[in-house]
Amino acid sequence: MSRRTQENLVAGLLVALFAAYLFLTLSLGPNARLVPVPIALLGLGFLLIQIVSQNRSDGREFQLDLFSSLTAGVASNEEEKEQESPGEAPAKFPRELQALGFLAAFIGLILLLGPIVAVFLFTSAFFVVTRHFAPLKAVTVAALCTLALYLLFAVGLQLQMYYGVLAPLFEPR
Amino acid sequence: MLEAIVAGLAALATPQAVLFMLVGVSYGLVIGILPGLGGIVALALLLPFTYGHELAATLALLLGAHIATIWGGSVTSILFKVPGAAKSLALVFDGHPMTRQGHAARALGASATAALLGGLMGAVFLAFTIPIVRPVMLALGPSEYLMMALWGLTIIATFSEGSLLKGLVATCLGIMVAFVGMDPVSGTPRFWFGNVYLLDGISFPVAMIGLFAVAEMMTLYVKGGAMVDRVGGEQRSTVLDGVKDAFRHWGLVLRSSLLGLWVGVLPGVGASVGGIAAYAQAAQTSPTPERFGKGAVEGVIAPDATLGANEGGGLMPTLAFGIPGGESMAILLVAFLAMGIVPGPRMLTSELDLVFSMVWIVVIANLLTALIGLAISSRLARLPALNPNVMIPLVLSVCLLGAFATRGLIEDVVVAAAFGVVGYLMNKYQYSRANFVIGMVLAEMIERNLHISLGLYGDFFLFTRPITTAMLAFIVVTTALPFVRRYRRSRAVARGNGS
Repeated sequence: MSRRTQENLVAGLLVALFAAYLFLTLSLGPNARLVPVPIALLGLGFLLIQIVSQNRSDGREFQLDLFSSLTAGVASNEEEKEQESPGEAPAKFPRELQALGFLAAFIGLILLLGPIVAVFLFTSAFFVVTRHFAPLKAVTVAALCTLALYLLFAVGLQLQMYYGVLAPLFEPR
Repeated sequence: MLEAIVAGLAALATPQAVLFMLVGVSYGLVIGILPGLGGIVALALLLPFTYGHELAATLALLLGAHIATIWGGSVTSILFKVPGAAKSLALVFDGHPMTRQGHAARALGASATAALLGGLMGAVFLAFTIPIVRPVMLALGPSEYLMMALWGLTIIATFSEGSLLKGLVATCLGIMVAFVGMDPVSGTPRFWFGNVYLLDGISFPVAMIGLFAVAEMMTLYVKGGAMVDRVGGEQRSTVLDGVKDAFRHWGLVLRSSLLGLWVGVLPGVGASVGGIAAYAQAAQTSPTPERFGKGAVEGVIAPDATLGANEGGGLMPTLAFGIPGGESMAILLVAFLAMGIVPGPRMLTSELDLVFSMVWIVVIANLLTALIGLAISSRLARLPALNPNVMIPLVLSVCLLGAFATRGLIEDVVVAAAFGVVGYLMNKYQYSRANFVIGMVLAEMIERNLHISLGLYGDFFLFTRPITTAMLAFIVVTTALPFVRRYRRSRAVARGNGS
């Protein structure tokens, strides 16, 4: 998928979001919608101009980047290289999916088993999957990190821990 | 005022404040020096720890960490060619060539000293401007504050990195998110979808942790490979040489610090612009500009002095008007609000001692950072490479536990992760996260002052109050100017091509 298509997709999603937001504000009272309505309209307006501008025939979107102009293109050239490199998109996409997968798995573990157990399982699994440490070392490092976080949050900050939706299964009858 | 100066210092003399200051500075240095983690991540991760402690001590923790991360970001630029944040980019141009030439210790010494001198100047500026700004603030009403907040939003979008339109969209998105939950003015629940969790609104610290810290970890993973491009070699100069350099170029330090103060005071003109502008003026005013980009120590001194002074300047609009100068000031503002510190006229009247505590914190944190920095610079020059595979799971664990710790709600962990994905996408498609945050922070100020203005001055207050009208005209002009300039330039180019 080309960069422009991706940009259009993101802008389209945002248009839908702003439109939905505008629709929701209509059910509010006059005071409660006094600011949200103009904000949603402004957002929609800016997005529509953005969509038109990024699809112009000359291929140049409205870019006003003081930072790039001051750096005489040093920063933007690197960004452009990153964006224009044809071989990069396919290499990046699986990594993005993996990153999303890792995050989803971590959240799933936290919801099921609570943050402390989840931290131990996630960090050891991450070390093993990325082959950074051998399994035994991965488990040891993860256990030490978990202990440090437990001491900081549960003991130091006296945070009432969450034990996950599976906690009742492990409770003594 | 003298009493407030003494009371401000006395508040920092407690064991907790001293401990928090040391912890904050050390933590800030560590986070700042780790490539890939910047000051924003450091502040976002600290937010859950800001409840239930002495006010001055918590401020010492936050501001100390913030100031230390700035120099930490310079270290990664100089040693690894990886700016900790956009504002440290200018340090790469000459700092890294110095490292390659075996002058890493000298560059770090010059950098720490310039940052210290700039930081001290920023603190002095903050202290001296209080009596000047106070009468101005007391003369302003809610409609003028509304205009200032609107100006802050538009100017932030104009000067933000990337497309102006995307910056404005990100600002609107931030404001939208801030409106989730109970409307404080009318008491109406908004955008809560029947979910009790959403009635309390989206927690600022949780959103910050997601937008910046979680998103950065995702970016690190996607980028892959080693985090640093390490160059070693024998050291040909010492840290002391760098210290001497900073004092030898005192004029440059002074000019750069003044530039930093000015950039800091202007809402929305972030330190990223300041660092680059300082580098540009150092090159322009140098008798040997051809040395720049090849390892000139002035190219390190100027940006660091600007970045150091920027904080004192940036604190002024944040405290006085509640308008943050950039994303880090926006996160600090979130923390201030959580601690019950409400920016505005009261800060410079009844809570003046608190402001002077902040001035002292800026001074002490800068001194501590420079002392620790100078002490460890020679060791840093030999720092080994770092692997993101160790950093990612550990930082992600702290992020999600930190999100849970803010209110003890498990839903906050899910929200932090969701904002992490949003932050990653915003970064990828260049919708400024800074604008999002500032929109989120200023939303309440805009709504509250609009309602008060309508109640006090009637529906046409924009045109019946002269200062408000003038400020509105100023906002329209400053927002439209870039569009007009761009239009004129494109027409001139088209005309040139046609002839």
